[in-house]
Amino acid sequence: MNVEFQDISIFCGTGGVGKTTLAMSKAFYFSKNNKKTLIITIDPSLRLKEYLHIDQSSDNQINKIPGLETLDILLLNPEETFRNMQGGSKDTSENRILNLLMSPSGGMNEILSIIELYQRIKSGKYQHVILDTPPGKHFLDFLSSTTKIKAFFDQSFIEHISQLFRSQGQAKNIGKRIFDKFVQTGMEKLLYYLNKVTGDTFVEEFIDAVHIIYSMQSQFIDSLKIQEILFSPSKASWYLVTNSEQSKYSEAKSMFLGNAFFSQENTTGIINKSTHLVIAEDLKNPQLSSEEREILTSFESREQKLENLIRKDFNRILRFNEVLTSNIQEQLEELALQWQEIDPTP
Amino acid sequence: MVKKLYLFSGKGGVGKSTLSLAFCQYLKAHGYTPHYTLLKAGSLGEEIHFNDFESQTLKFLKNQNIQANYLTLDDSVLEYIAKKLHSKTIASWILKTKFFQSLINIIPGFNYVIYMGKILENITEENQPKVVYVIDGPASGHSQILLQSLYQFKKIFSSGILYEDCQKMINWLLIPENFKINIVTLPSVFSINEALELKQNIESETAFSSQIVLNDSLKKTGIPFQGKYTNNRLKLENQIIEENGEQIVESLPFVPGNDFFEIVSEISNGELEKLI
Repeated sequence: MNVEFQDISIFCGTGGVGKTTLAMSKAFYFSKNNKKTLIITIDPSLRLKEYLHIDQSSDNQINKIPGLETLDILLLNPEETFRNMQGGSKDTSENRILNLLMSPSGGMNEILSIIELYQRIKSGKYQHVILDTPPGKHFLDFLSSTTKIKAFFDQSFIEHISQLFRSQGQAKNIGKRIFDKFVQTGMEKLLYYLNKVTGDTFVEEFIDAVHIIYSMQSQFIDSLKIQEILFSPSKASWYLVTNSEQSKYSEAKSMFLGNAFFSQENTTGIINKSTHLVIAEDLKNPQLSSEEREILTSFESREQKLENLIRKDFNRILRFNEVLTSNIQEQLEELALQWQEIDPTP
Repeated sequence: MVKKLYLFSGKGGVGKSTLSLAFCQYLKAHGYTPHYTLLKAGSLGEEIHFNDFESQTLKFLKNQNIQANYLTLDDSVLEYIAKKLHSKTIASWILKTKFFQSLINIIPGFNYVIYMGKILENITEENQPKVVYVIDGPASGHSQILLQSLYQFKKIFSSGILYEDCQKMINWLLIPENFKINIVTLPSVFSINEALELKQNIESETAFSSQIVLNDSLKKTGIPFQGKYTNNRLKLENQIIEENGEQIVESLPFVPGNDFFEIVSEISNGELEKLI
């Protein structure tokens, strides 16, 4: 039975701030309130994968946690998405450059993730979708700018190649033939030098790779419709996750605030692993040594400093108390309760 | 013995910059000439600017009289290719082509191959016995790309200059006297697990040697803690050390304070022998 899509929560931040755990806890919270929820994650830690019973073979398939029937967990595999876009063809697997681009750290990850995300939102299966973005700037860049994606297909060199495709047909080994054509059209010298740097077969294979990607242009461009959702304050909530262990707020901020989607209405700064309450309590203890007091005060003032910085940039701030446990289940349950306190009726 | 090149890696926020800067200061105090090296992210042709933190770091290094290398993609690629083709003109011509720009910008790890190529060329050409390069590495995932790229590109370019260079770089990095990777971790379960995962991945996909350094240790401060928070943290830290003790080569005490560079200097006065 189809349900109406309500909103997407997008968790951003630099590495190590607890993005994935926090995103997962929000998914827990929705699911416990009986909402059909999908969480999409890209690169969870090994431990989280173990807990979620995800192994590499289940990429791009829905995973379940026992007891949370309304929650679907999806670990993205860009390579799989790409293969599906091609109608399940295995044609690409021989191309070393495409393989590299599809690898977990590959340059195509972001754009393919967006395509998968858009398809899942359109599926009519979910009320809430939660996206745990990989650390770094690229993903946000891709989310925020149509021009980037268009540019991907628009560069003059690709145009040049696509011109040649038309005259060459769509057969395999197009790279070799285009390469020959280049040589005829006076690019000989350039390619001679390029070949000298990159080796014999590289240029051909690269052209092949670009051709394969280019042939799926319309699917890429279609996924840009996701921007309507991301722009809508009622449909998209953006979270910048930080914690005071991280001295790099400026990095996180510059990555986040340049994003075209943000308005004060839809954006929230999160202080994760907050120790504010527990430390304030401890500091009341008269038996503390001065060294311990110094350490606690130092934790406290780091958090205060972070909060002051976030206040300057965000109207809305949420604090999540640190859960000191090595048990992931406990951690998620506790954080889900904190979400529940923030919004008792999702 | 002090090696020629160090890479500091680990999850974001664990103290890679802190420790690589402290390590530079430490080496300097022991009569070496450290080169603090940062690999700037970014695309080819993109304007480079330093963020606040980087500018402050540059100032700090200048005051400490420590050499700073901020490698940017445009310069590194140009220099590298010019050297290979023995012509700056041809190199800049190649770099201006859309083809080459797309190539470098969309293929992950290509920039790292160029960066590593440049660093190693500096080291081997200068061949100064006391010079040590310290790379303030990118976070875990990217450090893995950095190291794997050398192998991956060797596979992709089955011949040519880049292929030969990748092989040369791998050979050089495999010599134990040349290169060491310090993986930094915090005493938290997530952090240590990521460090272990990174170490394992580095070992299985490359043959480079790495070790784990625990930063911000409360245990190492030796303070008898009374508070609930500190004791909970200590308990967790002890549990981590108990489970992974043999993997952790050194623990560095938590240094209280608000000023990043004061903390760096304080750490550099401590015991950093095991990082060598």
